[in-house]
Amino acid sequence: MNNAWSMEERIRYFSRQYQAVRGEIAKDIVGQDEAVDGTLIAMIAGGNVLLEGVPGTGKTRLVRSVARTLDLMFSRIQFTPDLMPADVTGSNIIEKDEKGNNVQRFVGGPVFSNIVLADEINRATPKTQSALLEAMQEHRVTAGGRTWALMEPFFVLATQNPIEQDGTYVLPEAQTDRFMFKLLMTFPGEEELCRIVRLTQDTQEERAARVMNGDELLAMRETAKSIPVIDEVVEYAARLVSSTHPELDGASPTAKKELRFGASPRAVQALIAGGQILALTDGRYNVSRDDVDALACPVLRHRIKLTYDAVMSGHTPDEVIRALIAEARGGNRTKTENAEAPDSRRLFRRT
Amino acid sequence: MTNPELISKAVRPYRRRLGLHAAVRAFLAALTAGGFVFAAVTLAYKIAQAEGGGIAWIVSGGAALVTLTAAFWILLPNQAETARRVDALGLKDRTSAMLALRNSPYEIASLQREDALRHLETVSPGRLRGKIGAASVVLLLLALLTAAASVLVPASWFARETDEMSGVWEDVLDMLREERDRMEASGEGRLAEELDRLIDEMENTDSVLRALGEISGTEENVKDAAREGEASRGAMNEALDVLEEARRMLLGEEEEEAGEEGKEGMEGGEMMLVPGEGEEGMEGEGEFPGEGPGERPGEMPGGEDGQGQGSGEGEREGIPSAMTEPVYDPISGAVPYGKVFSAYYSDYLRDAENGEIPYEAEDAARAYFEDLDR
Repeated sequence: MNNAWSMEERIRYFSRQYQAVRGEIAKDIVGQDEAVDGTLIAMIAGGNVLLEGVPGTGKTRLVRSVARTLDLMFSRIQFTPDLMPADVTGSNIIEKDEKGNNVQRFVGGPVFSNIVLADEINRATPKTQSALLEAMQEHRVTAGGRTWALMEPFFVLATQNPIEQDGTYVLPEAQTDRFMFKLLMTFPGEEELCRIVRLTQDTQEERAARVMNGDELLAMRETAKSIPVIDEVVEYAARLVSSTHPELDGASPTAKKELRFGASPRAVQALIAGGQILALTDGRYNVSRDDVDALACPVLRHRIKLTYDAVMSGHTPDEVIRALIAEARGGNRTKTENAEAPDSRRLFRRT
Repeated sequence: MTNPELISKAVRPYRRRLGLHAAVRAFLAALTAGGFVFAAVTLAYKIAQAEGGGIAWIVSGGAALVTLTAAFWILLPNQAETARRVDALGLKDRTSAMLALRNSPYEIASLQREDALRHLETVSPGRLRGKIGAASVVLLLLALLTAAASVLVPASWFARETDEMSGVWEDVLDMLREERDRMEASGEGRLAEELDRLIDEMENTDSVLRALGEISGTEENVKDAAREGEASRGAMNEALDVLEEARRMLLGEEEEEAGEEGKEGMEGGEMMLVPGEGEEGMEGEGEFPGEGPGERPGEMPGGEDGQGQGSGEGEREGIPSAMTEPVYDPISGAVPYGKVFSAYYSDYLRDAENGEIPYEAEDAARAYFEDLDR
């Protein structure tokens, strides 16, 4: 990207690059639109992603494919109960210098990379999980009394299996809040399964080609940040996030009934930052309430906690979020407006 | 850079369209308000038994006009609201953002405005649909129905019985005052005093039964006065006639009818007596011996010496109106309560005053007459 480009050229470049990356990833991943778009949006916005899905749905493949397409350094950590924090961040080793003296030298762990795949993150102990906290939020690591900056761009893409819960440690709220999105990798349909088989008959290797590099990704991030967000949209996002708090005065009936506690202020930031990118990918120059609605589930589903009754009633966080969206939108739409309104169940819908 | 005037011009057709919707809704609101006000004023006039149908039209017209104006200005959307409504047609907040960024000098804002204008052209103002809530329609229908009902309901429905009674009450009092004045003028001081006392009592109560009781008491006193020589017979009869007339008026009886009945009673000499009182009448001596029958029609049908059936005090002591009519119809078993209760109530008052009602029965007796009075 050329610094002398006009805003229009930058936006055109953004759209072109995004579509190119999306096209390359589609060579490796069949379907999973929400997960692919969500991962790309989070990476452009500088957020981390928690991918949840049953084994074999392509979580690891998606991350590897993204790393290839963006030409970013990629490292993978398989989280296990005996994994230690130093295995993640790195540790000091003692070695001889040129004069033969023993000196300590810091050897960075796998976290020193552009993309860190924390595979099955919920299998490690909370102590090891927390080793990622500083890296995820501040993009730096403190080890051996010194602080080391991580390379940019830096992302943590963590995966977890929602079914097999034996020997796992539920991620603490402080950590889940640091994931911009929680994306669900759903089980593919029959047709998609056939396509997966055809795709992987020749080779298991990723086919995605390099489209751009980390610097270009950072430039796209800057472009997205320039997209204007009008007050009404910011207020709407804030209202939606506030509505997840049952303890607040004027909390909605849904929140009072279904939620134990709500999302943090990071959720509003994520909604707006994600909305800016979603607007650009949609060919718009402004963030709309529809963008906020579209991102609400990935942003909020891991930040809210359902009440015992809601869980026992079989309600899911997404159902509660959709009810909250309906309440935040208000019931004052006409029939025509309702017909035009996007279906918030279809995330990242394109026009 | 896009001219802000161009933005306002682009939004104007949509605002006009929504203005039309606002006008329709304001008109419905005005009809509703006008209907209710019309019904209220019309009914108010009917309840007050006053004439003034034209006023209802004027007042409701004014209310409708005020509502129309107020509702239109309240419902007329501003530019931001117009933009929101247009955006809801699939423009994804483009119009709202365009208005918010209309004066922004940044390149991205300019791009946004151009993009919004481009998309705005694809949305026809006709796609904006008005929203009339079911509650508004129901309210309007209710208002129209109420207005129609207020016109159709007859004013006589609201004529109050208490008003009629109040008129009769005043007429009776006027008649008694007139009689009192006449008695005073003719030197019948005792009778004037008795009538004055009765007038006082009636002015201080609104109970018909009590008034009837007081009239009965006054009749006794009038007769006592004549017996004691403090009043002439002629004046007594005149006073008794007036008191009888007062009783009839309070009971709502027609004078002619009562007169006919009295006449029949006199002619036939078959007045039915209240048991007990009749015997007294039969046995008692004539109160006014020497008076021939027919001098006081219907009241002195006995023999010359005042003996015999229906003569003397016995007849007088019976309550005339009750006595001149059958008090009990043996065929139907019906008792004309309205006609006998004055006598019963008078007895009750007297017995209560004399302490002749057993203590255990006092409450029941009082409640009985109070209920009847209501």
